Amino acid sequence: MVERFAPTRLKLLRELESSLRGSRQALLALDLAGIEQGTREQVGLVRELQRLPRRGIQMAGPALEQRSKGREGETKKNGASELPAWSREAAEEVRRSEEAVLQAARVQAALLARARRKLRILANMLAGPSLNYSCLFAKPNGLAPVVYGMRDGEL
Amino acid sequence: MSSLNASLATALSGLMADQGAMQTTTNNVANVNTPGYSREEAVLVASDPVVLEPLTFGTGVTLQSVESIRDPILESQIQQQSQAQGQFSTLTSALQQTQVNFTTSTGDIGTQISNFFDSINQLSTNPTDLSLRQTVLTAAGNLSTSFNNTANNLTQQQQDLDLSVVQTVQQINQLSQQIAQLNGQISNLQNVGESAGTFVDQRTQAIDQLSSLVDVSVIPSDNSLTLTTGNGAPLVVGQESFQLQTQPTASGLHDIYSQAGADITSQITSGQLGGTLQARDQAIPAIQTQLDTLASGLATAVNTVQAGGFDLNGAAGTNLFNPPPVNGVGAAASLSVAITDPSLIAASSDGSAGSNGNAEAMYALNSQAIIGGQSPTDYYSGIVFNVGNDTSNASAEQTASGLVLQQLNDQRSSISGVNLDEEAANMVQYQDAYAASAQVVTTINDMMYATIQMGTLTG
Repeated sequence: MVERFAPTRLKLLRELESSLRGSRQALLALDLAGIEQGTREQVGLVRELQRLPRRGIQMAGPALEQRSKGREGETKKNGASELPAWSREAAEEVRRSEEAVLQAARVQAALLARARRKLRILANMLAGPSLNYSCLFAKPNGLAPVVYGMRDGEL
Repeated sequence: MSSLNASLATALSGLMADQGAMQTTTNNVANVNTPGYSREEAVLVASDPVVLEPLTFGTGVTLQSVESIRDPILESQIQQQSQAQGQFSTLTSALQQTQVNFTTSTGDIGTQISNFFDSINQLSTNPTDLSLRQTVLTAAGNLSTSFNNTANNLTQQQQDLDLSVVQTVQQINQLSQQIAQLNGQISNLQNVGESAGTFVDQRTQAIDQLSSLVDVSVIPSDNSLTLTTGNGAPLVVGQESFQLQTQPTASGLHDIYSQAGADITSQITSGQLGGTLQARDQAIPAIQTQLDTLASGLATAVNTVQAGGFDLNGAAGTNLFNPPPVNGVGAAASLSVAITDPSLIAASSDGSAGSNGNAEAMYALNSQAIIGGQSPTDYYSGIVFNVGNDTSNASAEQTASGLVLQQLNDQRSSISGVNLDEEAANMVQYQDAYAASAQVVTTINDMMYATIQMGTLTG
């Protein structure tokens, strides 16, 4: 299982990481088309990743192996300790790549939060002094309300 | 009609203005590599005209002022991001230090919990074996030491962070004084119509530094500005600085007070100081509480099973661990083994020496939900996960702030930085204008000479 899917998973993860980095640059440049394209890519890659079976890969992590000293029987039952060395290396590489993707996603989320704050300030500035600030923050879904004849989502 | 002398004065005003503009360009070029320098621009305006009916004559040019090019909104954004950057870099660094205590090693709590239950499992195979009993006591001792070391390391880290709080407050006070002093210098110059660009640059840099230390609100006023912490405690008002103070609490950690005496510790949320306080007062205490819960729950559960069994001599079991404090506070730091005689381990469930029923019951604790609805290993894994997750989140926030800050600084450079090509073009422009004005002076001189000669000839 591991030897069959690890290279595909690794390839997809690296593409996902690269796509997230591209989105990061697009977000910093406020390049909306770039952000949309990146998001589409990422959704596609995540779907492909979800289609791959995960069993076996997670069990080969070295940290788990160390922790499972007291549960050797249990681990053997799952087959992790019987994996050949090169498979464990592949699994370890997949784990590292997953961590890199997770970190890239965290940075992207932090940047998005900053961009959102910036847009809210801009929206308030565009709305002018007559608009009550609180109403822009009032909607629980986080969408800006219709202001000065703007259609929903136009902002 | 205008006189030749008036024309000469007009040409001279051009010479003076171009010389001043050239001085501005020279200063820009000289400061091309000076950090925080904002390029200056000569503001030239036409002098008031003279009306000689029916005509109006211009009287030349005046170098009205030398203005530094700045974008106040950009400066404000930079200060905001500096605060976030300071906060998350400090928090990340502190959490990374904390994380070291939870890295898988031979001495970490997770490994020691496994070793302890493994030793009990071994004992259950031969409950009368004294060496196996001794192994259980050793493993219990190692487990206690591991808890003690981790708890002490966290306390030590908390004290180091507390020291950092005191030092950061001192830095904030120094910068506040510096900014108040600069406010005075800027105000004095601007009141007499002089350019205070250099002092404004110095003040901007000082505010940037202050922003990386604490959350600061900047309120500009006429020729001066007011700085307050995020919650409104004044730091600088005009030429006066307000000192923050630190005072030790009963726990030995320092709280921060405004000059007016209000405790503002919990209200400082950003900058290095905010990050340090977040690590000292929230992150580390939360981990300490979880460790205490784990140590207390584990010790209590083991002691309870011990009390339900019988030792090698057939007597009722006594505590294996010294009972933790009732509320659990400090349980990890004080966890210790209560017995030194291996025969006192209550492995038997019926009083017979060969019984292993109670040892098995004790081993079963490893997989029972005895701490906050989780097994000891799972609860510990949860602590490790939380520490790792918090560290990664802080690190991601730090990266994001760094990226945004870099972008804002680049924008500031493009607006306020010196562009040598532009300065070269300005230099040529002012040089040509100066040469042209000089030529006008020469021409007027010739005209004057001709006029004087006309007077001599007619005389």
